[in-house]
Amino acid sequence: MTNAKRLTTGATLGVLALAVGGWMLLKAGAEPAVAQEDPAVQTAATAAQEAEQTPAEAAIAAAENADRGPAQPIPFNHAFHVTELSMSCAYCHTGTERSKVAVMPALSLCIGCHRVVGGALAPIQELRAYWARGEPVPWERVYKVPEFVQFYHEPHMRNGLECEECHGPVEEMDRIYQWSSLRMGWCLECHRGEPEETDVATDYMLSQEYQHAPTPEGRQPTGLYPYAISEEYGASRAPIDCLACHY
Amino acid sequence: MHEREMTESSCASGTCGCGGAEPVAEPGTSRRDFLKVIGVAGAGVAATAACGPPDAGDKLISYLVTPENTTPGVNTTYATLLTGAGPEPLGLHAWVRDGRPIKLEGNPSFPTNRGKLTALAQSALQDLYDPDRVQQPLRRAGDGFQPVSWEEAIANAGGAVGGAGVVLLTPPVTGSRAQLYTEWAAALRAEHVQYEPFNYVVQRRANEITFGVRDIPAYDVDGADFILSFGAEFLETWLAPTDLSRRYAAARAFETGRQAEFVFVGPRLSLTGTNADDWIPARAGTETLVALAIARAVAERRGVAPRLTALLAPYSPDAVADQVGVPAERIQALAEKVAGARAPIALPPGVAGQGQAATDAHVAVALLNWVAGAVGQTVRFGAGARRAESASFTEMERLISAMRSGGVSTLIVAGVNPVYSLPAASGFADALGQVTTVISLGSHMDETTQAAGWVLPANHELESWSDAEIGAGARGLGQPLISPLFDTRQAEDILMQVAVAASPGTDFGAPDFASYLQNRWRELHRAGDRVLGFESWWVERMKAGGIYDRSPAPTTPVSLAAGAFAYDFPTPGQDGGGSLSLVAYPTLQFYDGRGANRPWMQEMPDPVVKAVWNSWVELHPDAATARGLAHGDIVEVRSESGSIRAPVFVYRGIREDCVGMPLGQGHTAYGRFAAGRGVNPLEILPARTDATSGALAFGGAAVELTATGERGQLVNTQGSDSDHDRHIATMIGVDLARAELREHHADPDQAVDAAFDSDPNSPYRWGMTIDLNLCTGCGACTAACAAENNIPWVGEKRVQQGREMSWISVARYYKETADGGFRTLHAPMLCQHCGDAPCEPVCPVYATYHNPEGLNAQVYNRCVGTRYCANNCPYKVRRFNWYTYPMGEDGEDRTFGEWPYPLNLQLNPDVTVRSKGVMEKCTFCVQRISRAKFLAKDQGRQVGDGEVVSACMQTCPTEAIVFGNLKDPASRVSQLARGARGYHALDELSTRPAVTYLKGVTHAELENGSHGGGHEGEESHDSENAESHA
Repeated sequence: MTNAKRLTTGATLGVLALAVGGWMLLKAGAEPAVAQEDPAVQTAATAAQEAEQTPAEAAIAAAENADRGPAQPIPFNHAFHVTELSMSCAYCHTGTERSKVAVMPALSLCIGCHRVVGGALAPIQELRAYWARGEPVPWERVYKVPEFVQFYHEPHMRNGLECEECHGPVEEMDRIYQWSSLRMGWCLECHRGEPEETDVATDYMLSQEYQHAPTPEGRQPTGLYPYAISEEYGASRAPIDCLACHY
Repeated sequence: MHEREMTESSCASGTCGCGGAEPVAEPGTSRRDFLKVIGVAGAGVAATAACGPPDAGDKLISYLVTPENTTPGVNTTYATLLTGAGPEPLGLHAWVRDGRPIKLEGNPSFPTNRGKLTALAQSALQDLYDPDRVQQPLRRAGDGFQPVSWEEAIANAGGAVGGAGVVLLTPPVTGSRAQLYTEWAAALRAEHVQYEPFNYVVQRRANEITFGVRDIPAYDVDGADFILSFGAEFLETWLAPTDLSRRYAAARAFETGRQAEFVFVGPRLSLTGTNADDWIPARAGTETLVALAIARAVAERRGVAPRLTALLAPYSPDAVADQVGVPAERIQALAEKVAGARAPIALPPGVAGQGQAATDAHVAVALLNWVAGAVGQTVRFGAGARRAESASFTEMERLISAMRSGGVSTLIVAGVNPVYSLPAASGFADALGQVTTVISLGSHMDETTQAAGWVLPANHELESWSDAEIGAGARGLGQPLISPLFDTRQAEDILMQVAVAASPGTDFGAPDFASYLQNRWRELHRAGDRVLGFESWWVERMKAGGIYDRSPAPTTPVSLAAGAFAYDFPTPGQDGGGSLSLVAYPTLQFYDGRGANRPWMQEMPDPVVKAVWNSWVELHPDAATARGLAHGDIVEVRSESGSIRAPVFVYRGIREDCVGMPLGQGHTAYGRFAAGRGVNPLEILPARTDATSGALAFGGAAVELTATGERGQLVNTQGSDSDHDRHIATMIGVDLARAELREHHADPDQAVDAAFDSDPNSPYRWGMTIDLNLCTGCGACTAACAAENNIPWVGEKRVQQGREMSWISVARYYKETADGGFRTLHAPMLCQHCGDAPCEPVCPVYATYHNPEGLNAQVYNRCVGTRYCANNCPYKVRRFNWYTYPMGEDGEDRTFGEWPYPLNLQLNPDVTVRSKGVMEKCTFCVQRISRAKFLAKDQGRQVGDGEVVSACMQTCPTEAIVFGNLKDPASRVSQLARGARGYHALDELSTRPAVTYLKGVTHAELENGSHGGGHEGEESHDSENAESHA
């Protein structure tokens, strides 16, 4: 079986459901573990207390004024939703564990909550206007791998990677910015690593566990291999062959 | 690499999963609330703009409402139906990604195609995404059209169909559509004419005469040990090509001890004919005499009723030989073979052999089947596919004269293109001018639509609901894969709306065709076992793509009718011929012309001639020499009805007294890829018929040939007709093959040598076998590969420069026979993924290398375009992007501008779109390998046999291509690669290919006495000499 369940940032859907119904009342009780452990985190809530704004207004202001990441058509604050409301990544980005892409939530999902909450806030009114027009929000893309890279979220998530391992501390990001370099060397740091407990199966594990025809004595493949035969194949955490991603 | 995907889920309207549609997998979901989606779509007109050209740059556009069963970035498979890709209905499993169909595969449960598709069916996506489709309702304004609203168009059409003289012209269909057309015509007192250019009226008429049943039987070619085709193009365009290809492959399954002999009779070797073991080049129109001569010999051997003996008596081989133009001995020898066969089957002429005495030939073939005992055994009446009757040409002429005389006030043309597909001499185009209102429900601006007064554009079939009867107890069901790309409506909905506009009380029992069709299926549900309630049953049927009754179709017993004994066959006489006669033949890539605006089909080399983007005139080498003509010379072909000009192709497979020309090209409209390409032989075809059946005589028209003195270009991808005994494509005689099989011993636990050209720790070595005994050359692999791997078209000029991009192409080689004739061998050529690949060491940047799983990798982002690899590849399968295709950077030809919207919507997001300066080639569908590995690893296991199916293997109608893991000795590919017929192309180069070819087997006696190969005993798959090159 998979480790696909481990997608959340600490919150459960139960807490989430409550948060959707009445986040104003429950925000104190849904303080995520991450934020508590790290005193350096400046949450939108603490900022709100200082500026005498509601936490939501503070979050909006923080998203608008952030200095990293592209400005979005609606100042959506990830930190607020993750930290204040204890929403898991998978609540909105549903299906990522079986998809190539990090699934962008449909507008209907935003409206699911925001037809009830936040009606007094200008960005939420804007969001509702998009919905009324039947028009999707043209979010700015933050993460983009080149067209010659075939990156799939699915195997990464099914092998137990947490979202933040690549996307960073989203719970602290008022506005999303590119946290990892997305350079090939950065990918390979992980791919070249030792297999970890969470990995469901690697090529190495499979080649050890499953029988295949043994190569006859003295028979050596003669093609041009990029690295030494028999030493590295499958021994790493994830494939390091070019064709794993470039095709 | 240019922008491929706009976003991960770029269809924003939220309706592009099509409400009501059900995917094949993911059971247990309730039916979608259709109205909810409509409400959303209706709320947002602006949303449709987000479905438009992908100019959103780096935006992430999400769905408004994610359609049920859709996860952005994941393919969902839907079962649906395709009736417009050739003569048979095909079941589809369509891969839909983010609301867009991106790849069509066959539905394995569908009775006709069993998971396989033809090249034309593969290219249906390019028809759906055709940039030249009609995008909104139009009305004529002068020479052009102006857009109108649907309300205006419907209201006007409603007014036009109110009176008398209304004719609805559609293709012959079955199922709910047929029922609706009938009801529609009854409600409006209109005449409904079903027309298709390539029809079976001759066969129906002949069977009516011979057996008293106006039916088309099932031809169980798989049950035969001798196949005799009298010009039936059963592997390409005749009756049911995918079904018959599968049956043909079963009859030629050599290792099972079968290898049915196949003889082709006719003036021109069609693609089907090139697969035959022998060719009897009978003069056009003399198939009748050959069939009767053989029937006579069989009757002598088996004994038949005296009346029949008397009927056949005059047709001795000696008596007919002169007229047939073939020595009596050959006819005699063939007759003896048929007489000695256990289960012979004869197939009647197809379109190319349909001359002015077509019924004679069909009756003669039916008699031959009767005397040979095939009727009731392999030729089974009552068991054939359901097929609606098409109007004969005589009936179409009747319609034309009614149009001309003012008897037709309103003509509605839906889904056919008679202006193009009827001979110009029929006068249809002129007669159209006499019709007050011509309404086209065409989805494309074809010749007929262009001549219409009103265009009410219909959805593409893949945007529509449909069903079809496919035989006893079986029905296909088609659901829309995508909401309409343009402002179009389903043709049946338009008809229903027009009827209501004409007479508001008209009631079809349903508000739209989707409900109408569902009502018909409610009736089927009531008639069934009713284990499930209708809603659940309906969902199950949508997932399955129809109802399939697996019990064998019952055979209706028939016996010879009086008409058969009394049939007035022509008496054999002295006909020396003299004049040249035209053989106008259909091609599998264009069929009746419908494939012509699909660049994949234009660029796919013709399976026989290997020419692209053009038409040609086939001439026998002697005929060409006699006229001083050579390949590429422009000639004028003149008949009593006109003349056309095209370049010469010198072809050994045509009689000296014949001129062969392909149908389907020469469009004057239809779109940017079709218009002005080649010529249409129908422009010079006299409007002659076979008098008995009323069918159009495609064959036998007398023509004259004049050299123009001009040189043209006929771009041809076949460099040489011979492989010069280099063991590229190898064919051996059947006796030798049997001897080799007897002597061959292979250890079933031992992997083939090629398996060890991957990392010793890797459980995989991907490999392939290609059985040349089964490959018919149909090119379905080429089309499927183009669809799967985003292979661009480059246009005629660049193909001429040798810059075609196909990763798998089918080569056609001739093999000389001892009697001075030749056999044809079709050999797909693709990257061989060599264990010791010549391309690898010459790459200065390691862009090509050997992967631990044995794949020859090509890393696009590393490639700097030195082309050393292509230079060093002995198989010539590497393709270089001289431009960012498809485009013309030289500015000469705007046709090849870019992926014109919406053709780009078909691109597979899992494969990089390559750009200028990059080398590319077959990857063994590494994206499919990758996917299979994800799934297997997820379950902590190795990829099993059959889990990776390359696109070419998936579609191959004869299953000639098998892909899999060579390191697994039990895999299908290993078993085949170990077989006696296995060899590697250009084995002497010691490249250690992962592709093992299986030798073609022929009953013909090949030249050199060695049955073609001359290298028996060489165990190529165990090539020890390869070691010494290491």
